[in-house]
Amino acid sequence: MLLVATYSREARTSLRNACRSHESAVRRQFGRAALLAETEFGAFLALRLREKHGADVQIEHTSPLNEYAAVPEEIREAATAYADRDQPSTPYAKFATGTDHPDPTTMRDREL
Amino acid sequence: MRVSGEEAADGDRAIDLRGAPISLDTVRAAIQRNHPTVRTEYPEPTRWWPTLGIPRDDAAPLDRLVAAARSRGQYPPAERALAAAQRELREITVERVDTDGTRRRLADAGSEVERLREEVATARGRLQSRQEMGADTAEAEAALDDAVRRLSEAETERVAAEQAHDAAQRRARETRAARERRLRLQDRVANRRRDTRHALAASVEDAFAAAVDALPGEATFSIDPLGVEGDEVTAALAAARIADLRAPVIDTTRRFESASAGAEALDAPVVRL
Repeated sequence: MLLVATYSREARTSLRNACRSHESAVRRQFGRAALLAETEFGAFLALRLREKHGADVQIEHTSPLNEYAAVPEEIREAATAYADRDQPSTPYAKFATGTDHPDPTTMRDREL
Repeated sequence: MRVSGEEAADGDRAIDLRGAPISLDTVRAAIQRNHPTVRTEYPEPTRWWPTLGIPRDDAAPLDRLVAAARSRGQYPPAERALAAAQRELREITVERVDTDGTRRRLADAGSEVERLREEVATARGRLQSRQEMGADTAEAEAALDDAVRRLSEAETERVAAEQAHDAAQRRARETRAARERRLRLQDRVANRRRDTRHALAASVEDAFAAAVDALPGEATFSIDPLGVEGDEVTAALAAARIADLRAPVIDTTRRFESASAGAEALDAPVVRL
């Protein structure tokens, strides 16, 4: 999908108007951002906004994440284990210490 | 030029110029000290006169009421907050980043690489088939070498284009924090402006009601929701009555029997036109 985020009042107003007028091209709208359909028309709406508001409009191409294809197993396992932890107040860094789970610094430095 | 109409009994305070050969624009300009030849002996108007000095239905009643409150020297705390937000907004600078050029360069470089890859494959195929046929391969070899060389140049360009694009993207990301801050301040300015108008209008609520009582027609002011209902001309007259304009009100409304009746109801000097 196309993520359109706006960074000025004028751009935000234009985005809201575009979303209101072209509901079928809008997958989701959040405040000053929206996910548009990945169609030529969605791209047309997004580019029209960027043409009008320049760098106050950010356009990203998004796709759903398939963690089984894109995320290493140890990261998935760490997420599952941390979500299941006994002490809700334990920060992840402490949780990972002394286990096989990766530490957060290592994860931050590794690109997906 | 000395203009005199049918002056009412109280002379300077009320003057009826309906019969005189003088236009509204001329009187307005004269009162504002903008007319080349016509002078008035009235004091110079306050800065609120242009908004309030000619009561009509041509401006939002609430805007007139807010202007009237300001003319009375009202300065609500919200206004200080508004000024602070406006100052902060002015101080924000957002670097201009144009990533259009690098996006285009990267896309062009990518398709050029694709095109040349195909050209290399074709040239290689041609060379191979000539070798299999036992034909002369010099020309085909040269063509392949040439295609390979151009592909390598295109790949180098693509790497350079990628680096330029990444750098531009990074700069764009960095400016987004400033843009986001600017947006928050724009919202704050809008909210404080609304608060200020609210407070200003509310500060003359009683004065407005009293003014309407002294005038023909009906108008009511409500705080929540903020607005003025009723006769817009009456509301405009009421705003003029409560405002400090120093100079006379130009009355074109036909709501009063005479210039002096208007002057009395408006509690201000009146020029009737």
